Amino acid sequence: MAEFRPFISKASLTLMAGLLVVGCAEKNMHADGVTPASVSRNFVENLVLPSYAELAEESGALEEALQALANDPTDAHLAAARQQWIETRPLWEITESWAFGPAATEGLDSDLDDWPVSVLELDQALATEPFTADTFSQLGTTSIGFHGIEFVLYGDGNERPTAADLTPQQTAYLARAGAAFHDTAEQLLSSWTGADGFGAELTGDPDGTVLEMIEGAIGALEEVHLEKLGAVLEEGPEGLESRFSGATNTDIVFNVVGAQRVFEDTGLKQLLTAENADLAEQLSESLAMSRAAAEAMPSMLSQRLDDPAVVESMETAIEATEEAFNLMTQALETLDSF
Amino acid sequence: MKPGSKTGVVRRPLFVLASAILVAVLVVIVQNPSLAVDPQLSAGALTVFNRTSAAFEKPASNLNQDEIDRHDVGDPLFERSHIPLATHEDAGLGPLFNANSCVACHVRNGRGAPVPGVSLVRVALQEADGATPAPEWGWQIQDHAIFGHQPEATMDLTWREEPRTGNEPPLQKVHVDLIRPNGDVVADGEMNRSLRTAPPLIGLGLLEAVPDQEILSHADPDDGDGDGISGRAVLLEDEDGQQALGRFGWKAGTATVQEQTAEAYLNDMGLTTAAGPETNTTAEGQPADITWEELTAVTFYSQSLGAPATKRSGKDPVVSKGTSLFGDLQCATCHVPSHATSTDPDVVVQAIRDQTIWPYTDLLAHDMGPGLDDGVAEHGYTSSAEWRTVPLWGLGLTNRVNGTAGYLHDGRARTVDEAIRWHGGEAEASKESYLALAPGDRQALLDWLQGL
Repeated sequence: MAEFRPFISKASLTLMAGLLVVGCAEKNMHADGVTPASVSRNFVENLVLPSYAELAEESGALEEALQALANDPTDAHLAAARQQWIETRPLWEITESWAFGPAATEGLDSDLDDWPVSVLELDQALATEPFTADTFSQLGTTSIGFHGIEFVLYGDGNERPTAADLTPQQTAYLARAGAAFHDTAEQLLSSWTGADGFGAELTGDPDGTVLEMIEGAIGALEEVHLEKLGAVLEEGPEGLESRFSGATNTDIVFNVVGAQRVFEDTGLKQLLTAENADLAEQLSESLAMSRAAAEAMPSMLSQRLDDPAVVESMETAIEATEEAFNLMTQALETLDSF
Repeated sequence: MKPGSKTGVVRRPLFVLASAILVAVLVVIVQNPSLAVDPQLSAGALTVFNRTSAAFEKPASNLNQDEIDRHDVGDPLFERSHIPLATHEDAGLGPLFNANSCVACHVRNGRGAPVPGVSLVRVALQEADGATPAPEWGWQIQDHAIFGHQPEATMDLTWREEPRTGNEPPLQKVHVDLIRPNGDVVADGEMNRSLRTAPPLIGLGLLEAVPDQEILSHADPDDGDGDGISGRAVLLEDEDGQQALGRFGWKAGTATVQEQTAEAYLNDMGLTTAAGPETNTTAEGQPADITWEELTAVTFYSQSLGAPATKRSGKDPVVSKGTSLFGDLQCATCHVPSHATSTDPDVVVQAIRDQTIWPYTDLLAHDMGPGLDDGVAEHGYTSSAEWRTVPLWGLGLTNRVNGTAGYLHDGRARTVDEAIRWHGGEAEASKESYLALAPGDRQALLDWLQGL
C-alpha cells in the first residue's frame, strides 16, 4: 500500500482545491460591512502605529529615567527607572503579534529584546573602567535592550541592588543602553510610518495583510507555549525571559493580549465569523481563557519552579495558549485562499 | 480570501457540489496518473499551503504527530540566541563568530540581507585561482567576537552601479573592504573576498533525498552534447577518502543537512558539536557546545520544513506561458524543474520518500562567467566562477519574507530581472535570449517566476 500514499495525499489536496473553487461563489460576503481592506487599515492605523508610537514615547521616558539615574544614582531614581522599565515592557510584548516586517527583517526585534542575557559578557564589560561608548559598542544584542537593562537594574535575580550598589560603569551602561533602546524604538516606528513605510505596504495588500495578521498572532502564541513557557519547564529557569525582574508572567499576559487585539479589535473576528461563526466564537473564548490563564500565573516564576501549584499554573497557560494557537491556525486555513 | 456562507443551508449544496467535483477529479486522475504530479505542489506531499511571510517557517504538511513533535523540539533551538558560557574554555558562542543564532542570518528561514551582521565574507588568496585560503583566517572571516576578544576583521560594504548596457537598468556590485582590528584596511590585491548571504532553508530534506544517480544523470562535465552547458557534480572527499556528492551551500560544499548544520554552528557561530550520541566531545576530543541531541534536532527541523505551493496551478495560462519560455531559453537545462526523491526507506522523515518535487535545480556546479566569479574556489572543489544551481522554489516570496534582501550569493541583484542579467558563462546564451525577448514575453517569464 505504501506506493499509494502519495496519490492519496494528492487526492486530498485536490479535494481542498475543489472546495475552494466552489466556495468562490460567495466571495466578498462579510458581516457588518467588514472587508479585508477595513481590517488591514484598522490593523495598521488603529493598532500597530499607535502601539509603536506609545512604545517610542515610553522608551524616551525610559531613556530619561536611566539618564537621571546615571546623573544622580539615588534609590528614588533607581525605583523610578525600574518602574519605567515595568511600564515600557508590556508596550513591547503586546506588539509581538506584529513583529513581522521591519522588526524581523531589519533586526530591530533583536536590538530591543534578545535573550537570554549574556551574563558573562555583560559582567566583564561592566568591570571595564571607564565604561565608554567604545565599550558599549562591543556588546552584542544579548547584552543590550530590555534584558541587558533589566539585568543591571534588578541584579542577577537574587538580592536586588540598591542605588549605592551601582557602580559608575553600571550607570554609564544604563545611560547608553537607554539611549540606544529609544533610538531603536524610534526606528521601528519610522519603518512603519508614511507613504513608503511598511504600514502602507500592508494596507496596499489587504487580503495578504489579513493572513499576515493571523500569522503574527500564531507566531506569538506559538512562542509562548513552545518556548517562553514550554522550554522553561523542560530546561529550567534560565530560559525565562524576564527572570531578573520576575515579570515573565506579565510578558505572557501581554503576548496574549496582542493576539487578542489582532482578532477582536480590527474586524478580523467578523471576517472569520462570516466564514465560520463557530470557529470565531471558539477562538474568541480561547484567547480569553489564555489571557486568564496567563494572568493567573504568579510573578517571580524563576524562584518558584519547585512549587507544584506554580508549575500547574504554567502548564495551564501552556495548554490554553496551545489551544488558541491551534484555533488561530484553523482561522488561517479558513481565510486563506489555499 | 476564502469566501463562505453564514448558514448550513447554503453550505449543504456547496458540499454536495464539491463532492461531485472531487469524484470527477479522482476519476480523471486515476485514468491519467501523470495529472497527479502537479507543479503547484512544489514539495510534493510536503508542500506548505501558505504564501505569507511565515511560509518558510512552516513544517511540511504531511508530518505525523511524532515528526511534528520532533520538529517542534528543533524549532526553538534554531531560534536560540547563543551566549558565551563558563562550562569549559571558549564554551558557548564564539569567541569569534558571524552571528549568535541560526535565524540571525536565515531571517524567518529565508534569505539574509547583504549587510554586516547578517551576511559573511569568504576569502582566498589570489594565487592558485582562489584555491588557497587566507593563511591567518582560513576561508571565512569571523567579523564578530565576544566581549574582550577582537574579531578577525570587520567588513565595510560599498555598492557601486555597473555601466549601463543598452537600455537595461544598471546592475550593482558590492566592494568588500576588510578592516583589521587595528584599523588597517586589507589591500585589495592581498586576497579575494566574496560576500555571502544566507539562502532560504526550505525543502532541504527533499533535496537531500534526491538520489545521487538522478543528479549525476544531468551532469555533462565535458559538454558532451555540445549545448554549451556542462554541469559538474561536486565530489567531496573526507579525511578517510570517502566521497560524497556536494548538494548544499552556494558552491555545493557540503553533502548532508547535518554536515551543513554542524559547519554553520562551527564556522558561523563558533560552536562545536558532539561527534555522536554517546559523547559530549567533538571528533577532535574537545568539549562540545552543542550536544548530539541538539545537533540532530536542529538538523531534523531543517529537513522537515516544506516548501510553499506555487501561487498558480499548473493549468494557469501564466504558468503555461512562463514554463514554455523557461524551456525555450534553456533555463530549465540547469534549473531542472522536477525530481523524484528516493524510495529508500532509510530516510529521516518517511514522508520525504518517493515524492515528485519542483525545486528547479540540478544541484550541479556551473561556470557562471566572469561577472559572478568571486575569486574564491572553496576547498578546491569548485572553480571560483562555479556555483551550484540555485533552487528557485519560493523565489516569488522573497520580498514578502525578507523585505529588501537581494538575490544571488551576495544579494547584489535587487530583482529577479537583475539576477537573470548577471548570468554568464554557461548561461550566457540563455541570458542573451532573455534580453532579446519581446517586453511582453519577458514580463510573462518574470510573472511566472514571481509565482514560484
